[in-house]
Amino acid sequence: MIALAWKEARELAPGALLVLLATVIVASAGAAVKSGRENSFPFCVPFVLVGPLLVAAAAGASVFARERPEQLRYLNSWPISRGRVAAVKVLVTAGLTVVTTALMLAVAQSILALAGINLWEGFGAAVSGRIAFVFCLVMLFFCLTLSASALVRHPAGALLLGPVVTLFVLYRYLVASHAVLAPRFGPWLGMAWPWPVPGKIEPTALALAAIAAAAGVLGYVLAPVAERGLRLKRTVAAYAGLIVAAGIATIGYCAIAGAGPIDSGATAEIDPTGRHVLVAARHSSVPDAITGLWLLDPLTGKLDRISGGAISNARLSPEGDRVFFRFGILSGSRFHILYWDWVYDIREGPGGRLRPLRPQRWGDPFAPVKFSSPHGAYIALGERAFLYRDAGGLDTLTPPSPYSHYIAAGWTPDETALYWIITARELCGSEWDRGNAMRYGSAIPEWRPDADTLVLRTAAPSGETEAIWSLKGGRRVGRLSPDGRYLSLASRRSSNAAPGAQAPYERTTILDLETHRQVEIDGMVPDKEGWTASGRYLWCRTRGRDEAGIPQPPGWVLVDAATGEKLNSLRATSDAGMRLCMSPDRTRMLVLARCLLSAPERRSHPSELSLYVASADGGGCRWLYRTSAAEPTIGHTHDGDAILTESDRDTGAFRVLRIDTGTGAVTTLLERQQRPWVGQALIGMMRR
Amino acid sequence: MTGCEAMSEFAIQTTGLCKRFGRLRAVDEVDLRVPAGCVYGYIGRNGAGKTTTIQMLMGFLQPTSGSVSVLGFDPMRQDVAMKRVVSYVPERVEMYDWMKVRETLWFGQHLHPRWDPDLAAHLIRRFELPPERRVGQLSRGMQGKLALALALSSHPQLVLLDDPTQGLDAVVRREFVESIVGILQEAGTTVFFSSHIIDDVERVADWIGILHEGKLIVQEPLEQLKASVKRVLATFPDSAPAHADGAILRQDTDGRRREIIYRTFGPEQESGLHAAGVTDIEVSDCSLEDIFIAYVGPKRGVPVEGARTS
Repeated sequence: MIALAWKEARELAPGALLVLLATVIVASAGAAVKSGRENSFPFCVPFVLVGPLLVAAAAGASVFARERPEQLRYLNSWPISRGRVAAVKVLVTAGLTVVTTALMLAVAQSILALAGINLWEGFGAAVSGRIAFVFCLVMLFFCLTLSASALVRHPAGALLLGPVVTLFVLYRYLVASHAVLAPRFGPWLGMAWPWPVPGKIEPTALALAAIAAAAGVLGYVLAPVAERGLRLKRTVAAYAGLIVAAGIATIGYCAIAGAGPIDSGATAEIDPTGRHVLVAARHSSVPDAITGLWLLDPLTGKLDRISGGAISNARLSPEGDRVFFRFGILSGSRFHILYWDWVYDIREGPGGRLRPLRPQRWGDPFAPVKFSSPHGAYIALGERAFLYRDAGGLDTLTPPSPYSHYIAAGWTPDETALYWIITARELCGSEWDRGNAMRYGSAIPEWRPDADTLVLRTAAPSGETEAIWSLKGGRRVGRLSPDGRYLSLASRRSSNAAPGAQAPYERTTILDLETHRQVEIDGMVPDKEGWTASGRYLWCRTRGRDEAGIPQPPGWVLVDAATGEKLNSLRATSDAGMRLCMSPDRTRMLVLARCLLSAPERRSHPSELSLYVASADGGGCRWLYRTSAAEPTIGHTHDGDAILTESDRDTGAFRVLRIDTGTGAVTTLLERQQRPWVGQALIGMMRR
Repeated sequence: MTGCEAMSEFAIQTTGLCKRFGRLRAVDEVDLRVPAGCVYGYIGRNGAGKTTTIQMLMGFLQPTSGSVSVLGFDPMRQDVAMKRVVSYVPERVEMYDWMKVRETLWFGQHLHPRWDPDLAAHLIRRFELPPERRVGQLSRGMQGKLALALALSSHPQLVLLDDPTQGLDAVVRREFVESIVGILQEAGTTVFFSSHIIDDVERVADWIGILHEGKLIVQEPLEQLKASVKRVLATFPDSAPAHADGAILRQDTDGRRREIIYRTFGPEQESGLHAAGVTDIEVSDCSLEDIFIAYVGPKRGVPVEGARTS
């Protein structure tokens, strides 16, 4: 055993030295090239990732293949089992690979440090800063090429074809399968490509590596050493086998993965028209990530699976006929992924309802999805305000916005224009953005170069964009009234506000898009769903404390958009968990609050929320239901009942209730114990 | 009768041993019987299947069919146990070039439980191998001697030599073969000596196996083989047809004078010749090379009929 280990180490040492020498050269060259630049990322990332992987692949391929058949015959003519020979070869080579990799990185870092470059910064950005992740990938590459070379046992095949084909297989598996095939075909195929969450990919990689190594060693041990005829045919067969096995493993894994478990809780979005409830299972550790998506019929409680896998940004369209979501993959801690946008058309019935909206994109899958137009003709989405015709698939109707960020305020009722705003941060974000802001803004008569907010209007289908308003002070959360006449904006609290003030906003601004009048209302902000059916009145939220920090009853105030006059109010005992939801026809509303003082039957409880129903102007307020959920979702059914979802992230409890607004009768539409996703713990990466 | 013939035990025994590579039958129904303690010369032309046979004996190749027993071990299933008592010297010795002679011996010492360091040192001195020289710097003959030293230092009961003298010049080859003879005669080890250089085999072998196109066509003690195969020079009558006899291996004609190699030549064959009017009959012994060529060389006059084994 000692003699074998000594022989293996002696044979590998020259190779390791050559690799180190090459490393030093590459590192020196890289440092020289990059030393004068700010960002060393492009050099560091491939070096940190590809270097060790290539070393591992070469080492793995060399385990069995570096000895010629005659030498293997000589070695195997000694009275020592092939299994022992294989074990020593694998262990010694693997150990030296790890040492070589570590030395390589250390030498590179030492040289790069002379040029003021920190290799680990790029490393952290590329692979989440996880040394374990790189280690597992190194072992995976090592074992896969080892397996290939053991099957082939031909130096040319293993040393040349092995790494190339193995890299190709891995590329297809880790990159293409997940990042192209999965986002593109995953929902169609009914497969759930899971999130490769950092921290959970390592055991998977190590398991794959162990399987590959075992296969390689077994192949080496079982096959007679001097077997002839294993050149081309066996090489092809071995690699074909690896590719097929990887493919089957991928497809099988994704097929059985299914939708994610709901153990970490679920969220629900209720269709504004009240016909559907979109249920999304939350990922246990990735914020905003969704592992399963279902559509619930609020009348029958019937549940249809839309997709499972790496989903984000699931959202119902305003008319309630479509579900928009993104399907993609994570890439490290920055959540940069390749993803596809998908539309699930509820109207088209089973089959053929899913379609991709546009080619795949790299970006942030958790960037907010923008607004679909009221009747579904357009969807504005993405980080740069691309505008797509939903019915036409991939056609881009407008050129990309010149701005990096924007906040959509809403579509006009006739779908002819999308209003959106740019706030101070984006205006001052870069020279490029500022220049474009100036170009747009200078066309406005009242343009002020020091403006913090621009209101812009993009016409559909022409895509022409123009700035129509500029405002001093940062504004956010723009909401267009249902008739498209008024635009409400919430302004930020000033930076010199009194300490202890809680609310993030201090003022409501209402713009009259017809008369170009501007109304300012202090001390409140427009509610997300505050516009009444006529588009004339707006519910605004008041804070629990005023600007001076003095407590006041929180709640809502109904204001006249034309004059700013305060018409009615609903007051609660606490501003925690307050929500307001208009019915589809905007004649009634549901109110969620700790204790609504305006309701005759308050049913208050210090730590629980109650659901109330009232007319759109706040009249006839009645208590309906009390819930212990921390963040319930509320909405209306199409026939006027209330929908309330309760979710507990700690226990994973989730249920959807239908509440008769007339009698207060409660019907349970969905409970987690009764539904198909319950208990679907996933293997590998997804297992909690 | 040689010493080998008296032993009832076979060191190597194969039954119906076959190895196919696709459509090629490299070894075809070979029934080897190698008596323990003898030197078995396994000869054949290039590509006859000698190396394939030895690789199956060593467990390097899986037989397509048939059974193999080497010192009572199944090479495919008991290879480790078998290799403790069997040594192998291949036709191309591929030791590790970067190792020194001394390191090569150290390597072997740690891999073989029956290793005798004193014997190894003795053999190195006897073969005049420089301990501090790297294997890659040794001449071809010295590498062969080193391989032989490695093979013998574990006191093997059986040594498989796969054409170890191939590519050596005549002087080195003679020295190498004599080394084998000397050492193995001392130890009483069974030697399975494969070669296509007939002189080498004839010098040391007790038994002979001739392999031709994958088939074992001769297997008998060398002395018995040489005693039975005869060369006959005789004068035939004018316009006599080719002489027909089942014992004829080869027949060359030069006018009326003919040279015939008989598998066995006795009174029956001689009276047959007289009856055919043949005169001036001269009978002489054949060398192993003559016998080999008669069996496997280009056939003239009469084809070889059937295998000759005992």
